[in-house]
Amino acid sequence: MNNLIKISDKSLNWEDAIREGVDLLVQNDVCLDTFADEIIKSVEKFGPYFILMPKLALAHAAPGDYIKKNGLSLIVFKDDVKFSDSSNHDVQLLFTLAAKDESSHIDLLMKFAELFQEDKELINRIIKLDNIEEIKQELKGLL
Amino acid sequence: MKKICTVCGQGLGSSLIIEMNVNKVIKELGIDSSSIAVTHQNLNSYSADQGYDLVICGVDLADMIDPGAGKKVILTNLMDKEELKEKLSKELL
Repeated sequence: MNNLIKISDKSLNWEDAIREGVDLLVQNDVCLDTFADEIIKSVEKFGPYFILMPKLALAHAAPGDYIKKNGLSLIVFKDDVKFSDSSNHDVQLLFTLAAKDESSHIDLLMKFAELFQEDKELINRIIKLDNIEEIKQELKGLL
Repeated sequence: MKKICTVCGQGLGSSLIIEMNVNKVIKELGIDSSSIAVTHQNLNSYSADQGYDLVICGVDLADMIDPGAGKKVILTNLMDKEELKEKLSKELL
């Protein structure tokens, strides 16, 4: 299996950042690269509502043929990815979630939510890490 | 029976996270969970005439949601259980 986590020091616009996140999933045979188009369309329609809190995004789109199985990837950006002019929409931890249907990813989502809710400093610690193994440890097996 | 609905763009991510948190907060507030029904929806399936008492969403989608006869609760931080607790306690206690 290829890595589902990447550290990036590139300064990307939000569309290219989404494509990078989806690309990690494509490399792991989770989805097709057209999944990125769906996410981008969704942002154009609804705004970046999947930014759960400043710095942390859980990008996703509706289930469809472009998703082969459930999966999650993470890109840690050294520079903010700006989803709008508002600093509330600055993202450094970009998770991309592929959900095959409406419900089978719930355990994954619950684990994700608990991890970040129980440890308010987790985002800040992960942003500073330069080593994927250390990020994996912080994520406690989430991916 | 009070009806609560959490809404997000696809009904897959943030609305589910908020729904989980609503259930936790109801417990923490000591409210009888059988007196409240919590569900989640995406923006396309949700409509104002479904008769929810409370519709909960993130600030980014707030303008797109009409709570109908119910009330809208808008969260700025979807991961912050304390914010949710404060806002829900005003509506439920």
